[in-house]
Amino acid sequence: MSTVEAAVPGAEPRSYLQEGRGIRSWIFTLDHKRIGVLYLVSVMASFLLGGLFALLVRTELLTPQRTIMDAQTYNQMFTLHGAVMIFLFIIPGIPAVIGNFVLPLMLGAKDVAFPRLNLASWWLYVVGSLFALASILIGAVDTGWTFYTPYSTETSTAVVPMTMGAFILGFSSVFTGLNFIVTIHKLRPAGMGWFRMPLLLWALYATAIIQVLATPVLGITLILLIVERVVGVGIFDPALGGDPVLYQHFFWFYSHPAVYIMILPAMGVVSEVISVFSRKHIFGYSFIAGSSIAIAFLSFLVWGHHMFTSGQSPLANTIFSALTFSVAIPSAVKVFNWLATMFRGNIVLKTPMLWILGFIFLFGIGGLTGLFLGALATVIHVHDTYFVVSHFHYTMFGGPVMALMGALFFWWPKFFGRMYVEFWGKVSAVVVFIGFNVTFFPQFILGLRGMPRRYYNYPPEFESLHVLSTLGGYFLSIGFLIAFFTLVHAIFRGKKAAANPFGAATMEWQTSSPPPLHNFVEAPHVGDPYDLAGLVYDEASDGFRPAAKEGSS
Amino acid sequence: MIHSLWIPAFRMKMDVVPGRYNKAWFKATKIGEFPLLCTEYCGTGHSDMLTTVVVHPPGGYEDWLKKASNMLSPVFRPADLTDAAGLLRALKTGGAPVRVWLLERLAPETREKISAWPGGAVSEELRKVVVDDLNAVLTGDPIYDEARFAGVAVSEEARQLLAADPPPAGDDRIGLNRFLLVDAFPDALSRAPDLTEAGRYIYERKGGCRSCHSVDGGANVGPTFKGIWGKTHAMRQGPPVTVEENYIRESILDPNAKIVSGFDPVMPTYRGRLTDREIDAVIAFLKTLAEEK
Repeated sequence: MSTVEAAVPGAEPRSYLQEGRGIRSWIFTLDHKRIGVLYLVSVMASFLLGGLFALLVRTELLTPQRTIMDAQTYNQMFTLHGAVMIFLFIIPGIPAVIGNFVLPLMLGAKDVAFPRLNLASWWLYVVGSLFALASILIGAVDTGWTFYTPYSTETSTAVVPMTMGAFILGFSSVFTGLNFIVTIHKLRPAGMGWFRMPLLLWALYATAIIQVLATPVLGITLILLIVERVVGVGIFDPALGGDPVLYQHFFWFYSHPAVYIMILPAMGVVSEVISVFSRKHIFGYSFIAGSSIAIAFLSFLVWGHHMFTSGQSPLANTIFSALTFSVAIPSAVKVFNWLATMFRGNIVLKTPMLWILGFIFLFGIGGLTGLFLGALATVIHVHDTYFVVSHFHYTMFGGPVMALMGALFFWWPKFFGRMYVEFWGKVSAVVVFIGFNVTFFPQFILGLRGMPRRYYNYPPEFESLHVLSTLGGYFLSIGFLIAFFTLVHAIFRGKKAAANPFGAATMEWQTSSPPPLHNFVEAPHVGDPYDLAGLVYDEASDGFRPAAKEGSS
Repeated sequence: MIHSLWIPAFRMKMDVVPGRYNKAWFKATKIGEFPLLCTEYCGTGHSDMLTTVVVHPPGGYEDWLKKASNMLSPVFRPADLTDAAGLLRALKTGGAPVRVWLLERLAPETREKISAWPGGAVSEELRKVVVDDLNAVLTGDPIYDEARFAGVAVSEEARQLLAADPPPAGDDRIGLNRFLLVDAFPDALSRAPDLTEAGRYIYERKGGCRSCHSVDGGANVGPTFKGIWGKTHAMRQGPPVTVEENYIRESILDPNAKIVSGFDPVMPTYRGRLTDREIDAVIAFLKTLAEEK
């Protein structure tokens, strides 16, 4: 590199945001950082859409009878909420936004291994989303996001465009996963062995394995469903000689691993943030790394726990129950290691840390209630009730969404080179945390007392808890609006961010904020990603710098 | 559509999957009414798919059954004719329009036998002929006619079926006819259902299974039903099959899916000819043919 900027010591290199202007420089970019930003915009738009559907669903549930919409519309709303949140928001969320931006930086690399494949995966995401949106316009699906047969083969709504959309989004997910696997294998810098990688990379690697191995099964399943609907070949529909429970097996063979596609990267984010804001080396590095791989492996063996009441044999139920419990072990390994990292640490309660502490608390509840659902004696009662709805949101909202927000507040200075207003960041984290619990904790009680999920009308004795839940949902939304305004405000009005504002030792903080097009002007120093001792606070830049070097660079 | 049966108070739940039988059990220990809900999303009316489970005190169920439930077995069996002599006397005496009408609907030979009946004990043979004819009436046209049933106290169940819109069809109409006949001859015809007997009736008459399947072990076109329940058959193709609910159901609806070794695939399908309830009855009947261990 012999650019003028690099030659002048102390001068800021031109950032990736300044390389090229106009829409074409963005939508045809090969830069992993810009693709990360493209994903950020599209994934957040999906989040707002999915959130809007959720608010409509919660509003309808304010009264036991009709409130604002009819039963058919309600069924479409909860289906769209689920499908949009899962396929368009949570699955691509952390890997495609944070992973794309941060992964090559953490490796000290210029880009991912296959930049064109990376761009293709974003375009597939866009095409898949358009299919999903088209299905909303021509007759939104009302099957539930699981598309269970035989309902999905018989309903008159637009099942084919929606499943086609999910099929295409699957390819996007596979491409991203493939790219990350190759990048981690081939682009690690000299000196970074597997066990010197930041834990987020272990998590993204484990995620990518699941993406690549499990997603094709969903693709095949959805294609079979489409073939059955369009051509009338009997596969799942008993009227055509098919078996509807076969669909459930196929579907969950992907969709159970898919919840680990959602949670594993979130756990990776927690491992990064918790160490930085405890000002302490991560505790039990190799156990956290290994537990990611263990979760990825076990995730393929537990799908049958979605079919405990389908008439599956008691023997199969017992085996799946035992395997389900085994997932608790690597999950608990992570949680205890995070707690041990915080123990006797110098905990700094900045915005990212608040989100991540929210993650640990909510995911803890989600994980522990998962044991109720893994135990055959209790799951028979609570299966398909609000208990499951609540458990799912405690794990998938309390997990990946809290972690994604924490990650955005953590890497936002790196993304855009600007600091947000700390106060409003903290307010948003606290409001979301409270709103979340008010929304979803009552749903555990509802489920235990006999409230089935996906009910438009419900018995009047459940009304007060439903009202509480809905009010919590409104409060929760306010928290997210504050977070979005805080982040967007930072881009335009934020204070200039230092290269390393929080004092982290991973390599992305060694380059400027925001980074230049090729990420690093000088080759970054490869060291222990959690050795925070060598960093000192520099008041002038409001950031951290290496202590050893004498103030320069 | 898949549904799921949930009785929260009993802590039990089981999916209801088309094309297969799932088993579930519970032990109700308290008398009362408890909600029963569908918990597998099944479409627009999903949240309206609920009712109550009634746990009766001892004997209460039998009382209820007498009143309510011949819908389960929309046919008469010989034992349902609780007072054969009374019924025959009423038919011979005539008078009420419904008696005259029913006698006219019976087969000419049956009418002759009734008029030749000297009174007193009713022979097994005559009893059987009358019951068969009553069943033929059930499966015929709707029997309700205001003039004909004038003076008959129509039960609540029959009244509800009569008020149904659209008018009851299929099993429901047969059930309605049965309610009305029981209402017209309350002392002679019993309401208590028996699935096994209904199954025997289907085996012998409605389904005509007996023309190919014996119950005494005799050779015929199809395998004998003697001791069939729980027996393991070798198949022409594929692994051997143990006879249980799903296999029987499949063999009735899709007879050529699995052919017992030594037989030909000649059985016609009964899809559309037997209702689910009737297949249940056949299964109940076949269970009585299990070999004692």
